[in-house]
Amino acid sequence: MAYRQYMLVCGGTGCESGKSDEIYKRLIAEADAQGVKDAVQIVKTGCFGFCEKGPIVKVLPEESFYVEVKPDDAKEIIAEQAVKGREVKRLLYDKSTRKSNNKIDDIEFYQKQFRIVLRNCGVINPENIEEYIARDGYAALEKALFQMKGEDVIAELKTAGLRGRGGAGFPTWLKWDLTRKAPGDVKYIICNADEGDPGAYMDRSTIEGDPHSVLEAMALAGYAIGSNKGYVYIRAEYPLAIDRLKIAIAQAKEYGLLGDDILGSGFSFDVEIRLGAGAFVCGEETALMRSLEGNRGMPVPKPPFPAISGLWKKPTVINNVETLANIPVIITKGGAWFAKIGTEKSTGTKVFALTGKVNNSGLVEVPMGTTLREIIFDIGGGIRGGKKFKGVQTGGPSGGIIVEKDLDAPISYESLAALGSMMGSGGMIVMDEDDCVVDVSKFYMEFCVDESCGKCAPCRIGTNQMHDILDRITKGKGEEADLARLERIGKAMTKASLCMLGGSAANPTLSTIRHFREEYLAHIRDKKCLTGKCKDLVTYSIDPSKCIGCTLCAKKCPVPCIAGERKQAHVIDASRCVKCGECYAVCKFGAVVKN
Amino acid sequence: MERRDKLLSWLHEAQERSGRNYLDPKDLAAAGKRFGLTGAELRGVASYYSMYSLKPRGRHLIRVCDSPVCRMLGSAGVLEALGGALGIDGEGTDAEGRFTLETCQCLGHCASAPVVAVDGTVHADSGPDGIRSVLASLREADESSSTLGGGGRGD
Repeated sequence: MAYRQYMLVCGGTGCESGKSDEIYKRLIAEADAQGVKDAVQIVKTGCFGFCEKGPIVKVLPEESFYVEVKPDDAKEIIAEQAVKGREVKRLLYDKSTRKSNNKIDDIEFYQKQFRIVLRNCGVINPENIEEYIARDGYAALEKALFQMKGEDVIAELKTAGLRGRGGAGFPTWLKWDLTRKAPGDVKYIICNADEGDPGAYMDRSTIEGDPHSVLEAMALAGYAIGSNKGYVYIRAEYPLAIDRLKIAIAQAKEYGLLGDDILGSGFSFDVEIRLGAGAFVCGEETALMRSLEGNRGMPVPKPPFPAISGLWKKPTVINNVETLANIPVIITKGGAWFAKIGTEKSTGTKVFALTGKVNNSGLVEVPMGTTLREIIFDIGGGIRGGKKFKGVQTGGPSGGIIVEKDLDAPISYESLAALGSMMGSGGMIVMDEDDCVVDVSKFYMEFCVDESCGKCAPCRIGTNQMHDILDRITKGKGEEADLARLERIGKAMTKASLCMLGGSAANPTLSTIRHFREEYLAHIRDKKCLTGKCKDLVTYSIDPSKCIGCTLCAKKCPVPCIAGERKQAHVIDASRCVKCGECYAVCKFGAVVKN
Repeated sequence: MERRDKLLSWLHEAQERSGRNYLDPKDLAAAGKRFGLTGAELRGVASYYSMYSLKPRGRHLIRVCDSPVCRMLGSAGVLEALGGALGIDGEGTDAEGRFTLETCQCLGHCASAPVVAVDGTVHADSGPDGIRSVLASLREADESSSTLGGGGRGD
């Protein structure tokens, strides 16, 4: 019997931690209790991307888009929509009320998006292979196996112009072609799902929402280069993605889409999962392969490149999750179709994780060539709390900050590099006027110190040196010559480090010095942090005209260094103040002044 | 002898089995036999990765994400609030060995920052209120597990 209605409940980790699983179960229970269980199918899908407003429930065919749903709303959704056919207005995403309906395409968050990688996320149940197949899943593999030779698959990728989405932008077809032509009988395919870049989570969502797209692409890669074995190396911090991947592999084997003699073609391909254990540098391909083999995951010099000598010294193709998820669509629709999207040298789309001080955080997929301004202000809805935009960090700890005047640059690998940042894996962290760039640069350097594997001196020593200098600047102990020192060490690390962790670790600092030299100088010369983020540079005082002498601050002060009689203005002894900020936080009269 | 590419997964499982979120020397010895590795090789691998511990931790592991996005949105306050509630100063394990509090790198839930993972499960928007309910449920779970005889004291 056909269902009259479909309710899609987001099952991404973000929404799950917002109790979407309970919403899903309550909807099923309510549909049963209210006698409509044969009329409504309730499905748990992958991430809709609009994480800011989760948990999300979408109802078809009405296309009602419900946001911030709670388990207690289940009863009303079933009673109103499934039984009476009326939308639950209070749960609709309200910013589009100017429109008569509330379709997903009318919501500004989705208007400029174009979904290839995320095509099935929020549409299908990722734990059911039949839903993937119903959306042309595994059609590309079938087409390749029966209508194309290995080199045809590679030629299609060349026409498409697909480049690595992990950040470096190396042409995917060339990687495959080199590996195909490398001598050797045993070759491997690796999916790099070790997404450690702070602020980036597109790979997690892709696997959680559409695991088969990655598996299908790996099988295509195996067929194209002559490999029968693939590994997904995924970080252990992503348990839901690991579970979905396990289910997908088992189902694909059951359906004869992985394993021996796929679809009777004579081609065999198997995929296994290997887990990381918390080391950022394992996202670097040579380190990843050492870790996959069961060693300390440290990078080794290139060449030889993985295409010649990779996993267990065999020729290996190693592609990132997002890169792979594009490939089945390219094979099905053709490379020429794909090449029409985006810019001339950066074709297709890119998924960004838009986070930080922006109104609509979430995952967005846009054609290359879209501007940063469109992403942050149109899709992202601008800056939280009406604050002023300060900068956006792309490329995480390897990238740089991009400022207001450059926001209209169309996004491509080349344009972001020209702006002193990089595409990176797609993290986009928005900062507002309250964020201190020196402090943020110190965070990133601290991250690189933590994650440096210690094998090569430029990275091991350089990150520590740069961190120490940044640290003393934030404490008011910097000197002007420190800026030149940071630049000199940064340049040396960029040139001499063994891998891109060290090679790019200086970027956030160098780019903030370039754009915000005055702010660095304020920390150094005036010992002032204009945002108040650098605690050591902040002084607290009490405005006697506002203080009513309630004594609350004096009671809370841990030193204590606040004196004053009841109902008299209080005074902070700045020489003993530890700058904990308690007095500032507890004062109800705005009498404690931070500057 | 098993090929060592399964070592990392095996260590994760051993750590979970230990009940104290660490790699017991007995487990390391077993891994040595299974994968044909020396103690030095194993400790080399185990000490390299931040998710493994060679020292016993609490029965429940609380990891506070300390990556830039979570920091910008208040992770320091979350760590402080948790530490205050659990009687842990900064990072470490409480006296009863029930909870270990530590910071970690990006958990990949930046749109819901700040986030905290409790025994691997991510809790989004873990402001002070969110975290209080998490703690309450954890205490309950921990008490029922100890009355059932699961996880004792002592290292």
